[in-house]
Amino acid sequence: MSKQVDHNELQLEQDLKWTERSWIIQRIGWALLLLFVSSAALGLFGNGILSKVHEQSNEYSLEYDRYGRYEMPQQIKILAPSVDDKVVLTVPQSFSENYDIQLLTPQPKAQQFDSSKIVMEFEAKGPVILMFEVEAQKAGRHQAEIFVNNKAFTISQFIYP
Amino acid sequence: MNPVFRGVGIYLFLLLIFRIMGKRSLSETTTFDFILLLIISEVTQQALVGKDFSLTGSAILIGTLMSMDLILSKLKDNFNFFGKVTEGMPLVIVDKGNPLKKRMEKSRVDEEDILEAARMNFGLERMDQIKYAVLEKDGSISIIPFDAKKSG
Repeated sequence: MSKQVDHNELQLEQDLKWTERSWIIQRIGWALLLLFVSSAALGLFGNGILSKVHEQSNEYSLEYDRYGRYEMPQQIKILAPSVDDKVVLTVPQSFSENYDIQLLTPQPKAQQFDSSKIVMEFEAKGPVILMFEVEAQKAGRHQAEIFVNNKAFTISQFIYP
Repeated sequence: MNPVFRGVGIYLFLLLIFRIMGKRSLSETTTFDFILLLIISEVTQQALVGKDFSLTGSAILIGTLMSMDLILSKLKDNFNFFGKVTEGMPLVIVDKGNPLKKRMEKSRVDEEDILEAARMNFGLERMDQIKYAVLEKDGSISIIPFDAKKSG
């Protein structure tokens, strides 16, 4: 410790070693801050290229974010290149426990509820894009399955608080 | 939209608009200026946060704004030109008792502002007691009276 209190000249409690150490810590902090912000820009905490998931199963595909944030609206997109007459979307209870479904475009033609799932039917022909906007209601890791025309898709997300 | 990009966008826009408004706009904050600032912060908040109320979201935004500040100050240190662009430069507005009218007019300072600064800091009474008055980068007016350095 180089604590100097010089009463003859300047009355000052100075600790150069400590100050130099805090400069180093500051620089490390800056680097961490820039790292945090640039990883956020890339999508490590949601909406960005690191976060995008594209899942394909037969002709259907599902797009969503791997990372999300608590109560932030996020989109789940279902793409079907060619549909004959209808799309049936089955959302199990385990999904709606963790997510608040805000918006569904287009609106389903018919809906059916029971204790374990919600079944929605869309009348469609040709290429279809179903979009829903959900808000995660709990932080942490969530895994849920949704079914598009009985094909299972697993949505696996980490929700930041 | 990613909060980092929103943060950067808002930061640059505010930087630009306050730079364009000129340096006098914030230094002499009137009550109404203060209200205007509050409204600006309210509007900015909407654009920044949007519908994202998460802790992580606000941490990202704060981090982004602070990083922008850090990067900009580093740029200002390393490139003189950058500092001129973002902060402007100091300007002499009174030279040996003579107010430089054109400069004062362009930077929206009037004689009364200079005299006020002279009264407040040195208790000077007249323009001819002022050796130099400088409009500083932060918009304040610094006064050097005629006999300031006589002792030195």
